[in-house]
Amino acid sequence: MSKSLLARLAAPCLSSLLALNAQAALTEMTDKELSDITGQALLTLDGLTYGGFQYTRLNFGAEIDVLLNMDELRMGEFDRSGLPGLASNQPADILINNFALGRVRNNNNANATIEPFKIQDPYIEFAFKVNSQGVREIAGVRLGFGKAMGYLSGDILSLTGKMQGKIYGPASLGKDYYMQQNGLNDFTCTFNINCLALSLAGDTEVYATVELLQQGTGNKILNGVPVNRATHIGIPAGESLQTDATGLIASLIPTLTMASNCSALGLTTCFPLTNYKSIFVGDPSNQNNINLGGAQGIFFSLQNQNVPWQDLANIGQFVETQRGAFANFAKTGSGANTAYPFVLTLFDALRGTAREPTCMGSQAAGC
Amino acid sequence: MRSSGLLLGLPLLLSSAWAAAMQALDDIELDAVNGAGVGFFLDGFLYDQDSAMARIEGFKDSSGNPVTIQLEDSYIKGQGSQRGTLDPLANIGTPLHPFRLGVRNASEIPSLPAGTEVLQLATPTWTDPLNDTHHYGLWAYYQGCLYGEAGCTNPDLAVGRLNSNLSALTSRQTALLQRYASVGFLTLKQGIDTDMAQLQTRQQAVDAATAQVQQARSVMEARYAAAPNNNKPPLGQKYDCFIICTNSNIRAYNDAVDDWTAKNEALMNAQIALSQVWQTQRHGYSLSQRSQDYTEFASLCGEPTSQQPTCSGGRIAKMEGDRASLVLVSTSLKDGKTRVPGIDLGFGAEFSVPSTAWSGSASNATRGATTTRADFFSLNIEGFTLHGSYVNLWGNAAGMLGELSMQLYADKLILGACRTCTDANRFVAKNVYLDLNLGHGTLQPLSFSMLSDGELRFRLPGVTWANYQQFYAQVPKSNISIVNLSLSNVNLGAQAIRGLRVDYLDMRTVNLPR
Amino acid sequence: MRSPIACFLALLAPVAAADLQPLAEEELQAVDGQAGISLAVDLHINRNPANTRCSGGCGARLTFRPGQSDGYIVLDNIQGRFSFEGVTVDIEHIDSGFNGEGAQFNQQALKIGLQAATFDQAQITLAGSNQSQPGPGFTQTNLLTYQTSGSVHLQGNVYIFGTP
Repeated sequence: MSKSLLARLAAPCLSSLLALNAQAALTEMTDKELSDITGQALLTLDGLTYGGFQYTRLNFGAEIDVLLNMDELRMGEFDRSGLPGLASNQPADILINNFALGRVRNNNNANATIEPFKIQDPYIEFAFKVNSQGVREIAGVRLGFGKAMGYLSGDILSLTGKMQGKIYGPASLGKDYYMQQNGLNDFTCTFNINCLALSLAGDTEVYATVELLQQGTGNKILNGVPVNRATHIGIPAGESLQTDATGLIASLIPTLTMASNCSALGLTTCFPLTNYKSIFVGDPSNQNNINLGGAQGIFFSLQNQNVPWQDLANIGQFVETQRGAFANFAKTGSGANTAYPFVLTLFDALRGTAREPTCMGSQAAGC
Repeated sequence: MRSSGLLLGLPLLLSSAWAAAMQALDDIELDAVNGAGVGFFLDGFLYDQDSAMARIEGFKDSSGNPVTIQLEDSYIKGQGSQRGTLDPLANIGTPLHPFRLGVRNASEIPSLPAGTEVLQLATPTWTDPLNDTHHYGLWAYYQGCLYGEAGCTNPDLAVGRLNSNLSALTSRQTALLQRYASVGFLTLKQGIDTDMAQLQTRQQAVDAATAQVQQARSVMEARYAAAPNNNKPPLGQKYDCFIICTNSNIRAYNDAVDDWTAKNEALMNAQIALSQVWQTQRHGYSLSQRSQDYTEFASLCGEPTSQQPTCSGGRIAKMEGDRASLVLVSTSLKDGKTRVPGIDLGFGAEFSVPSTAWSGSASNATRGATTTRADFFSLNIEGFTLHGSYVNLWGNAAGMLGELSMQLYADKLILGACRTCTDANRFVAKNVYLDLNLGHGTLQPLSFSMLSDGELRFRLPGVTWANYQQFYAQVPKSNISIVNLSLSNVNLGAQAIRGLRVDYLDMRTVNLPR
Repeated sequence: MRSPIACFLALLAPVAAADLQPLAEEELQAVDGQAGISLAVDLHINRNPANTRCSGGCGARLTFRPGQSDGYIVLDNIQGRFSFEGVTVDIEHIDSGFNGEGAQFNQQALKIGLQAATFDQAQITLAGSNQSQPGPGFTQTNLLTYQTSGSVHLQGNVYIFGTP
């Protein structure tokens, strides 16, 4: 019989009991009126119902600064043959290689510094629905960020959901790009209908919302549902460049620039998502303050039907989704207060955005 | 996030005698015992809530209304309990594969700084491929289905899928090698670097010109506001005076428009110059194409070190390494070996949540009354193992430091919203593998501290210029995968995060609502 | 065998704040002729009504300070009855069983046999605070409170041994 083993274990047991006793004794002796508990701690649960769905959301209070790299993000890898809205033959609803949040400045010299991606208040939410047999089922789940700001990078091979960006610039940028692509100069431009039309627009500031669409046709809706597994983004067919300017030329811009079959005025209006290797999420004019410049309403979800998720950026609105995986990088607000998850100049839109380095050293990615 | 709820229940449910031994970590006089630590395991274990009442309170919603969670039917039993209805006993650890709690030092753990001693809690560890979670979890990811279920009795499906993924990657590698065969990758890199230097200069010029345009625009907007309202043109267009503008505000505004137009012209020229650099041709390809190709090759094969590089690193080399693991697992399965049984655990809960009713169209819904909703929610985990996990803890002036490796695998994770229903109404995730590695003793220790306002702070120091090569070579990556997810009988396929590494983290909790 | 157990008792007796029931203790003949023991642990922690920080008075409090952080993780307001009847404590020499591992293990281990646990209005609150004891400038943020009552079915053995 060994006493030593029992003694070995009695020692820690005794110490912990001592700790327990000590605290209990002291509590009894302090006899003051004390300020009560403050704050509600870092977790809250919210419930709501809408459209026949019930939702329960767990909010996690946090300020997160992060630089992360992942080789692959893959969601919704299932067979979509026969299902509506299929825009490509990609194997998954969301497929991004070399996905990164945050970036590295001066990545290839001793001044390399990390510029993290900022996230506020992530949450997880479940959607429930009572089915036709009266059984309450789980219809969907989503993970979202209260606010987010910073560089998001990746080779986006397939995307399903809402990715809305704003492109803007003087109309003359479009003309110059067109001339460059078609080998025209100022003289030969006057004999080219499209080039002439673009030059008439002058320096008028134009903008457009770019959205996920199908390559070739530029359609953002297929068989009645928004496209899924999109490989391209651009000005959807039937939509055009807009301008706030007035006057005859300005009023012609929407007509002149209506996109059809991925082209408007001879300019390509559909761009491969892989051209956009980095986007800045949030408002770049407020990029030091997530409270002012953070993009709201960003989430990733999985659902088995069109579950309308509450749009936390626009109270009173719900984001409609579809069966499968869904990424929401939608614009929020309206009119002058519209905030886009990313904003590109017309030039960047036309030539794509290079990947911001997310690794130290000579590699921009894949570390 | 989905698997993070797994271990929540365990500390609360296990016996208090055990909890007492765990609490006094600071107080254990380990020098007094023979040997560096303690091993323990549970044999024939079973926990069942039976008819006991258990409730969690204290949570609130965003408006401060209370939320209560009534726990029912919680259990921890052996694998095969059919979600807690049967009573097989669980063996968590064995005499030769126990949990270990003890002091370790840098000579035993290479990731620790020299001279550091840590307190390590390690879960049972097996080295054979079926029971080592690293191997089995990886195999399960490629296998694509739950082994033993219909249509999933061939363990070589995993190697087959890996081979087809690999051949897609190697054909990209071959295509890139062929494209630059006459050039050589080192030459390619040199050309890219030279062009990138030019790009930086032109990008700076664009940034400067953009700033000028923004400034000119503000001046123009201010002067526009001050300009008279009769015959006022749209912003950006000039007043049309007959010969000369007599009003000084109009003149000032018109000048501002000219300046803004000129600055826009300059910006446009700078943008064109920048675009031209991207179009710089070498070897028949533009800079944007060359740079994209080089980055893709480096991620497939590792950074090239010769003109005709071989694949010594990158995703291809990693996958080939993975193949060896998959073969080990499938060979064991074909030899008829089986895994050590895991545990089943779960609970049902009734959530009392204040719920606001919304109605109307999705673009303009109206808010209705808030009532309390009583929801049922269940979580069940079948065949759960955590073999090969560990956490190493030590401390310094800032707080606690650690490194951890969580190897959590479950055959099935089921979430339900109904008491009497089948899996066709539930969230069923199969082959759930959480391979989470956080912290590295020397290069990136995870630090955890409680702030004076009661908030938690987690930090992972960032990679630095001085350590980046070691960092990328040694700090491990993480993977999270669900091989098959079915949401109320709708198949949503596989979900995975592969090769995740957090290169910097600073996380602070905050009280809600803000 | 009795002296460590007497130690247990000696520590528990003089605690004035917590109202404890005296421990029952039996001696059992365990296997292999070794003297095992059976414990009935019945811990009853009362609220202290004089401490008005919690409604109805506060129970016991345990705090943990990670490293040298400024704040503490707190298990607060621990109260109620925690009862473990018939927990057995024994030393077992394992040299067989366990699917063949016992023979290779061939060592002694402390074996704690678990039995049903009963709770009566037991509760515990998890919180974070800036001081280990309430004092001037004290703040605490509660995360959750866990309450339980009734008997849970617990069985199995915990084996504990030293490792090199």
